[in-house]
Amino acid sequence: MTRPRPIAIAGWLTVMTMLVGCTKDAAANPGSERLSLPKLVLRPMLKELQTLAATHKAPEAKVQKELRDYADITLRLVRADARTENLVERSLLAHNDAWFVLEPALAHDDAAVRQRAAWLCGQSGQTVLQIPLLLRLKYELNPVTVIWVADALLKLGNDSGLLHLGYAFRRELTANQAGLMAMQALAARGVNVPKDPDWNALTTLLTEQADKWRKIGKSGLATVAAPAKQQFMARLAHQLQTPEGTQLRPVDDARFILTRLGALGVPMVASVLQAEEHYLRSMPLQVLTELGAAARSATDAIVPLLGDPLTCMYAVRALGEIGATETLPHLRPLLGSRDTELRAQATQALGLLGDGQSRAALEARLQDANETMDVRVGAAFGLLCLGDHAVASAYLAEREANLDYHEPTLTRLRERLSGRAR
Amino acid sequence: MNLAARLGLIVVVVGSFAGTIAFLQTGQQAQGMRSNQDVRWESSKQCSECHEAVFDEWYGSHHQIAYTNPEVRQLSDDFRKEECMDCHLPRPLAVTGFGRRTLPRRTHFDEGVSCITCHLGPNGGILGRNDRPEVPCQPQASAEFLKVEACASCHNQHGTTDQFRASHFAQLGNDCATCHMPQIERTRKDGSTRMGRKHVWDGCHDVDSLQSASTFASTRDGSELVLTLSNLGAGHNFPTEERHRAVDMMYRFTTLVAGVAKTAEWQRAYRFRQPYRDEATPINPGNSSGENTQLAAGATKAVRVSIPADAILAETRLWYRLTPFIGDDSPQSTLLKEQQVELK
Repeated sequence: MTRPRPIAIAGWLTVMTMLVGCTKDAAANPGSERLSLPKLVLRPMLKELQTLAATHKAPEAKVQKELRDYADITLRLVRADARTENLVERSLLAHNDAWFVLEPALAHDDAAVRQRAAWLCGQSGQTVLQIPLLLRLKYELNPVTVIWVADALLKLGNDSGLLHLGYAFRRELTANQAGLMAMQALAARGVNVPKDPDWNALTTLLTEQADKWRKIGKSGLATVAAPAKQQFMARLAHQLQTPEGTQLRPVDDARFILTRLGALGVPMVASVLQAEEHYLRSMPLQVLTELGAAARSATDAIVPLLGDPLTCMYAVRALGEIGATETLPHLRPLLGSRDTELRAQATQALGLLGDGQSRAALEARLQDANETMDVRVGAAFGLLCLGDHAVASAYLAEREANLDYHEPTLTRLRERLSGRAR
Repeated sequence: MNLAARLGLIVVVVGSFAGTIAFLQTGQQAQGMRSNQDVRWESSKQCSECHEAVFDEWYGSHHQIAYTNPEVRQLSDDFRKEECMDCHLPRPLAVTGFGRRTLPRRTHFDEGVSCITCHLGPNGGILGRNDRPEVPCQPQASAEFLKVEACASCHNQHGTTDQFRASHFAQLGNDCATCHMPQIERTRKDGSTRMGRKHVWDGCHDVDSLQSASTFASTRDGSELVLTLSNLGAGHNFPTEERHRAVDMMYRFTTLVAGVAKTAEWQRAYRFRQPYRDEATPINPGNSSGENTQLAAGATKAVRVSIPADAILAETRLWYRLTPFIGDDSPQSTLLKEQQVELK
């Protein structure tokens, strides 16, 4: 008999060690029990985004001067006769770099200048100006300026302005102007507006259009001009690189803008899901989550992140919110994950996706006394999404009565269930 | 080697290997230890089993109530502003990277910034000041989680850790824990003692911490009352963090007219505060719009007020306010210093 070679023994030991190691990893890794996922391919994106953002530059000095002269007249900061004003206005609106003067004018100290700047943005037909308009909407305190900004957004094909007009009906100061703007916006979207509508009828029509916008993320306008590609990408890149810093405000601004751009920004937002820098991946996932069904086209970009330990919980949430039912085979096994975060997210996502096949598994999570309350509450929510469920209902009611679970979370789940919030 | 011999060898090798693993695990259990690798650390309650005193300190601290604090709930619109969750319900810092932006979790809402947030390592183990392989959670020493960067993930939102890095405190080799996690003696279960760190993070909600941050003086200089505030105790601006935090220097005079003493209303001499970004009105007359009037570490600000004729007494007060929109009688206002200057 040949003596076993030491190298063979060492080889066996190595193989066995690796096998044991893999088994342990599999138990520890929440993603390993899932069906095979598309490969997660990440690449450094921060510099790419910063470089792209930097391409959005001020025009050369000569053009700047020309634009400033236009703006002084068009914004009525200097007096000019009507004919000159008309000519200059047309020149400014036709200029590709009109943003250079209109954008700062949106933040002018004088509300009348801001309103005029907003109107000019709307008239320009430059879809890319949705971005500075949305930022103005975030900070504008003057109610009259708010409706001019909302109106400009509507003219540029961003229907997130609809509800702002609806809110303005409630103020005497803005009601009539907002009413006129609403009627024009609805007519431009092919809505049959009665000749003398009352406020309730107008509000109902606005709400219907706003719901459509939320579901598909596209304007009801017959045609919306494509934004100037380079400038649009550069502006989005600027927003998407904000989580690189620890400052809160730029991230907050970015999310405000990106979640109100509808489907327009989705391809670019989804592309950042491949960022090697985790902090760049997380915000797009949250943005897509907030966009909901309007971000449906991002499903394929989200799925590989189910294999990413850092962001998989946000990916699960996003898939649930955007209605990606085709991903259910990936989501169902997560109810058995060791990771509480994942189990909790999966309970809600499966409910939102209406997965009747998960009913028994959700009931098991709900009734497992050793399970964390976060998961049990999520399971109750998931079951109630699937239909009436006495045990789930009782469990949530018990939490509310006992005050032993986070009250705002319970309130939000209740709102979702009653259809009052998305 | 024939097939039987080969199979025999495999059985022996595999058996030995499995036996060794089993032996090691039995040994651990015999010592009453849980392997760090086998425990999934998710909740501070797990820590309370051994670290009861530390848990009790943390419980009720502003770290623990970070997500349930009514003030924060109001300011964040009950966390409908989801980005607030990043720091008020964060995932472990080491997982997302010390000094990097944090990511929010959606579980254990009542734990806010928990033990796990700071002490969980990137590989699922526990981080500590020292290597302690003999205790159940087997902490591994980490210099990183003791550094200013660890706090910066959340506390640089308004530049506080940048302010600290620029201060003389940092140059002296201090870190955030020097003031906010002072050393205290802890008693082990066997009665022996060791030095540990306080887990309360005293700061703007603690009168002693606020009082130690600054020196306040009120003096007469001819026909003027001089109110002086020096930031000698805080290693960052005073006040710092959120823009609604404010420090007010107040004064009032008592005059004697025709033998009758009259005490005037309190007046504000100066407010130290960083304004909101869209706040047009300057913080104090003479400041520009948007000017940050927080007092930097090591800096002094003196304000002069004319003393009225017939004034016999000046009273001064230094207030810390959690928001600028409240009066002296609000529980969100804390009186830090009170002084009197006889004028006759």
